[in-house]
Amino acid sequence: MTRDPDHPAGRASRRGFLIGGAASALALDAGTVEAQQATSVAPQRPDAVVPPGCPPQPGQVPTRGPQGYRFLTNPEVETLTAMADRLIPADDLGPGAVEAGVVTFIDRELGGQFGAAARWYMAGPWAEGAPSQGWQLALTPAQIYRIGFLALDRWCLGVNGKRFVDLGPADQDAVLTLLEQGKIDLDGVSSAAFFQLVWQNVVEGYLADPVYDGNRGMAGWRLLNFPGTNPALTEAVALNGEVYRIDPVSIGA
Amino acid sequence: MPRHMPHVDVVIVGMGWTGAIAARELADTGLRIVGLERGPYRDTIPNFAVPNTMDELRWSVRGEMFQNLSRETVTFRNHLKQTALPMRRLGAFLPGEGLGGAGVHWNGQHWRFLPTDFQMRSHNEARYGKKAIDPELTIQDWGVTYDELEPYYDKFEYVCGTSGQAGNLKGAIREGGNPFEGPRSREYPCPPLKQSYGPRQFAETARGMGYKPFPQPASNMSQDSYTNPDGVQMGPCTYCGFCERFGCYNWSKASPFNTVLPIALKNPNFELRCDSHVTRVELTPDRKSARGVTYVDAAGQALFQPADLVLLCAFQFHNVRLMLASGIGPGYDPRTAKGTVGKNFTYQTIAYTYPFFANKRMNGYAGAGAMGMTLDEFNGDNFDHGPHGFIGGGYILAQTTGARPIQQSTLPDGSPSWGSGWKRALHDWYDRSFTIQAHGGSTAHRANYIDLDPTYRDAFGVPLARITFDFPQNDLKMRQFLVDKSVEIAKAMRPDHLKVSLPPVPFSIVPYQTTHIVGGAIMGVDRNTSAVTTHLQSWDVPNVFVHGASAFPQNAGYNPTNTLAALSYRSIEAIKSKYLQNPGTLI
Ligand SMILES: Cc1cc2nc3c(=O)[nH]c(=O)nc-3n(C[C@H](O)[C@H](O)[C@H](O)COP(=O)(O)OP(=O)(O)OC[C@H]3O[C@@H](n4cnc5c(N)ncnc54)[C@H](O)[C@@H]3O)c2cc1C
Ligand code: SF4
Repeated sequence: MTRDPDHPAGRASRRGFLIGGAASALALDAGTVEAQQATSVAPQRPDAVVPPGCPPQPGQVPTRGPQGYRFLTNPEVETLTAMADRLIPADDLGPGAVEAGVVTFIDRELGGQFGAAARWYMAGPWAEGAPSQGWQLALTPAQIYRIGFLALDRWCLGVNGKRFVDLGPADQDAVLTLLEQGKIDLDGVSSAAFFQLVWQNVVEGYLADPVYDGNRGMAGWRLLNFPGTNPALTEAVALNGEVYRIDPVSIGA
Repeated sequence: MPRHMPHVDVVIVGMGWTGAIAARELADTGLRIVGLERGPYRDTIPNFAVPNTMDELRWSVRGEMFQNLSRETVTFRNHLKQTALPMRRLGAFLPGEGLGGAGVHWNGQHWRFLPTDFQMRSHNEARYGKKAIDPELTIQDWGVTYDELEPYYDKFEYVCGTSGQAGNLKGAIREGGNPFEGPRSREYPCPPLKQSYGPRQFAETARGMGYKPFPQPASNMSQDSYTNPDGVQMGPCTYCGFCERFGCYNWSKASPFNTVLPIALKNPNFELRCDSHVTRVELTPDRKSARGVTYVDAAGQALFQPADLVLLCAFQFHNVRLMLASGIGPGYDPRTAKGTVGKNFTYQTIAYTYPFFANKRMNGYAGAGAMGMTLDEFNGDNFDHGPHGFIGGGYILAQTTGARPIQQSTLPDGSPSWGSGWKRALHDWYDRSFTIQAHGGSTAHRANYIDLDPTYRDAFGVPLARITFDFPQNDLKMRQFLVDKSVEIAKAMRPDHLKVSLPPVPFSIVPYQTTHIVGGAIMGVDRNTSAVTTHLQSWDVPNVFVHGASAFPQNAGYNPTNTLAALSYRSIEAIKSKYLQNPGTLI
C-alpha cells in the first residue's frame, strides 16, 4: 500500500519519491551501506528500484522505507549486513535478508523497547543457573550487539588479519558456525547466545510485517505463499492439499 | 499510609475470565463491587482491530499483551537443592495482563474433564490398588463430582457459544462425538468448526485404525452469528490464523469482551479500575478476616480498598503469591508435607509429532485456535493402565491454529539451521506439516510446589513466587506412551518425514509448552490437605474466595478453562445463596 500522501496512486511520482528518498538518505549519512548502494546502483539502473508492492529481486536495492540508522554504528552496519547476507542469502529462490531490509529492521528493534529489554526482568543478583532456568544474562539485546560486534571484529582481526566484513563467503560461514557452536569468546558473552539473538532477529526481519521495515515487498511472505493479514480465509479450509493462492496484504506494505 | 477509598461490599482482584464471570454473576445482587485489574483497559475495538491484531512480531514474539516481566515474574528451579532464578524472558507459559486477562489471547479449546478425573486418587486406588500409585504422588480427589459441575459446564458453554458435537447426551453415546465424555444435559450450542486438510486426513487414518476421532470443542464461533443467553452477540470465525496469542477482531473467539463483561459493565454498582496492581490482602490482626486490599494505581500511589468480601481472580500463581504474601493460610513445606498454600503445583505434559507431506499444502494459515480433530482413547482412565506402570493420560489432537511464519514454520529434522540450505528448506517445507499434540495431564508430586522467593522481588517490593517443579516419572512414562500412539497414527498417514518434539527433561522454563499451570491453592473437603473448600472459600480466612486453576488438586489431560469457569459459577452461586446470609462464616 502506498503511504505517500502527496502522490496517492501515481506510479511515476511514486518512483520519483523513492529515488528522492534514497538521495536524501545519502545526504544525511554518507557512510551507510544502504546509502552507498543506493547511489552506485539506482542512478545507473532505474529498474533496480523496487516498484511498490513487488518483492525486490537479488541485487535490487530496497529503497522504500526510511533510510539511515538510529542505533547501529557504521562498522556494525557493515558487519551485520555481511552476516545477514550469509544467514539468508539472495539466490534463485528470491531476495535475501539484506534485500528484504533486515538491517534496518534490526536497527529499529535495537533502538526501541526490544533493544532495551524493556519487558524482561532485569534485576539482580545474577547467576548463571542451569540450562532449564533459561536466559540469565545481565545485558540488554542492544548491549549484546554492541559488545558482540566489537569483540567479533577483534577476534577476526586476530585470527585472519581481517574484519568479518572483509572475509570471503566461505570464511564468513566458518566464523558463523564457530559462533553458533559457542566457540568464540566475545568479551564474556557466549557466542552461541549472541548468534541465536542475531539469527532470531534476522528471521524476524525477514518474516515480520513490513510495517517494521523488514520483509520489504513482502519478500519473505512471497517465498512461503503466506497470505499476510488477510483475515477471511474460510474458503482455504476446504482445500485438499492444493495451494491457496491469494495476494498477500500487510499492515505496512 | 495508603489513602483509603470508600468502602465496598466486594473487591475482585484481577479482571480476566474468572474475575469477569464473578462480576457478571454478582450483577443482580445490588452489592457494590470494585474490580481491580493491574493491566490496561482494552476492548475488541479499537485494540484488536484488523490489520494490527494480525501482527506476529508485536503480539506473539514480543508478547505485548502478556505479563510484563520487568515489573513482576516468578523464580524457578527444578528441585529443592537448586537456587531458584528469575524467569527473565517469557517462555514455558504466557500469563495475561490487562482487562480480559489470558481470556483474550487463549485458543478457545473448550474441554470438560472426565468424571473420573475428579476422583483421581480414590478411583485409581480402587481400580489399580494403592500400590500402583507412586507414594511420592500427592494426588487428591477434588471433593466435587462431574455431575455436580455439569450444569455449570453447560452454562459456560452456552455463554461462550461453544461449538462441538456431543458424544454422550444424557447417557446415550452418539456417533461423531467423544464417546468417553461425561453425560451432557444438552447438545453444544453450536455445530463443530470446519476442519482443514491435515486434521481431516488424520481423522480418516485414525478411524481406519479403529479410533473414534471427533472435532475438538471450540469457543471459536462456527456459525454466522450467535446470541448468548445474556443477549450478547458473537460473529463468525473467519479462520484468520491469528487466534491464540492474539485478540480476536471479529467477536468470534469467546473472551470476557463478547460474553460476560458487557453485562458486568452495565451494572451501575460495578466499578472497574484498570492499571491497579494489588500488592496485598489486608487481614485483621488474628488473620481470620480480610479487611480489604492494598493496591498501587497508574500514578504509583498506594491505595487501600476496604471490602467485606475479597475474590482473588488474579490467575493461578498470582493468587497463590497474594495468599502467601498476605498470610492467608499455612504455607506448604515439602520437607514435612504439611501446610496447604502452595501445595500441588502441577502443569501439563505435552509432546508434539509432525508428519510432513512434500507435495501437499496444509493451508495452515487458515486455522483457528481450537480447530482440530481429537482422540480421547488414551485420556484419564479411558483405558486399562494395568500393564503400563503409570496413571492418567491425555488427548491426542491434530490441530491447525495458524501458519505464522516466524514461530510456526516447522522444518524436518536435519534441515540446515541457516544459510541457503535453510532458505531452501523453509521454501520446501513451510506449511507441509501439521501438529499432532499429545496433551497429557500432570500428577501432583510432593516436591512440586510454590512458595515466596527469599531473594527476588517485584517492582513493588513484594517477594516473587518461587516455583519448584520437575516432571514426575509417572508423567514421563505417560508422555512416552502418548507419543508412541501419536507416532503410530502419523506413520499410518505415510508422511515423507516425521518429526517428534519433546519438551526438555528436566522441565525447562524456556520453550513454550502451555499456560495451563495449576494448583497451589487447591480445593478439597479437608482443611488439613486443601487451601480452599469446594466452593473456593479459604478455610482460614472465610471472607476470601480464590478462583482459577489454582484450585485444581492436580491437572487432567485437558485445557483448564471450562473447568475453572464451572468452579467459579458454582462458587458465586453458593456465595449468593448461602454465604451472603451468614457473611464471614464457612459455607
Ligand atoms: C496462549 C494461551 C492459550 C490458552 N489456550 C487455552 C485453551 O485453548 N483452552 C483453555 O481451557 N485454556 C487456555 N488457556 C488458559 C486460559 O487463558 C486461562 O485458564 C484463563 O484465562 C484463566 O482465567 P483466570 O481468570 O484465572 O486468569 P486470567 O484470565 O489470566 O485473568 C487474571 C487477571 O488478573 C490480573 N492480575 C494478576 N495479578 C494481579 C494483581 N496483583 N492485581 C490486579 N490484577 C492482577 C491479570 O492481569 C489478569 O488480567 C490459554 C492460555 C494462554 C496464555
Ligand atoms: S481464528 Fe476465528 S476465533 Fe480465532 S481470532 Fe481469527 S476469527 Fe477470531
